[in-house]
Amino acid sequence: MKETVMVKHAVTGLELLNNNKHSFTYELIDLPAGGFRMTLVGAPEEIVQHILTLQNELNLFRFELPEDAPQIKHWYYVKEHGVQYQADQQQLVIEASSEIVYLPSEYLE
Amino acid sequence: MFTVYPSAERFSFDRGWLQGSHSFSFSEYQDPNNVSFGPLRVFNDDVIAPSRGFGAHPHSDMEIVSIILEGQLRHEDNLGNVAVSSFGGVQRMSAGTGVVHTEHNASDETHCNLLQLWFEPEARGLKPSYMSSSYNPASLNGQLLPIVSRQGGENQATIHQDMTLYLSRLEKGQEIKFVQHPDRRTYVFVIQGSLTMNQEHLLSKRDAVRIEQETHLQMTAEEPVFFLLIDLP
Repeated sequence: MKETVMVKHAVTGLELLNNNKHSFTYELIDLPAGGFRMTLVGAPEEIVQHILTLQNELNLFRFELPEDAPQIKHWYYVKEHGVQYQADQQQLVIEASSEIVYLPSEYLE
Repeated sequence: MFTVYPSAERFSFDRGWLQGSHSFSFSEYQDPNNVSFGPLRVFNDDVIAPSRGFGAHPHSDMEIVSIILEGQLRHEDNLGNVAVSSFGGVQRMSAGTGVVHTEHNASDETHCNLLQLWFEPEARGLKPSYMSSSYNPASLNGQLLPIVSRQGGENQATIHQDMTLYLSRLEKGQEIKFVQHPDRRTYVFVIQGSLTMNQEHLLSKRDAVRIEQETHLQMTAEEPVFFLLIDLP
């Protein structure tokens, strides 16, 4: 199954990071106390710096693209102060407190 | 201080099904020197073709106000709200911790023109909510009619921000005054017609003015005018 991970600016809609366009690895885990942590490694430094300047207004997405089923979209509500970057490891960490899962096919296109 | 933004200086676009103008940075229009006016972050003037619209997409931590000028706007969201509004109707969505919604022109014959304004809320993490309200268009004549405010009221949408949005219609030569606190901001946008602010600044159709540190505002209709005034922190 294909998967797209995307970070966008929540106000202007500007796409900042997209695994189909930029080279990085990512991992999503559930946090024991609730919420989620997405760890993105190797994203371009310039883009990461831009993300950090907009960190209070981010949309974090994960799109699942099953081969024989409609697309499933996951949107994550990014925590306040939930964005951190370890430059020496090129590791961007985005923590979210909740998620909305939706199928665009269930709405008017 | 009055800073006039002529209509022609807005960022305008035509995608066929959607034509519009952005007064602040939005979508492909990115200007770091034009991202907000106080809590006002987005002011879009959109025309949606019949039966077309925006598919499901999320928002968070924004107060989103849609003012329908022509046609019909259909809203649907993951909270279970479905509403269709026409002229005289206002939709307000508090995105808070997250809402997924769609917006479509509900008519398959006529276009829909709406103003969509996004305001920063007074706090992050609000519970998502939606409401639609309506006002009597005849009540716009000769006065500033509040249609969105924090306290709400009859025929007003409530909003989680210390602000009030007014609409007004004036006949040619008619005058109206607004007294503002020196620490607050005022935004005026002409929907139709033209007016003069404080006998000095002429605003024509779709022109706007951002006003700071001015306490006495006087709007004089140069011709029949329909305009919007927002009192902002």
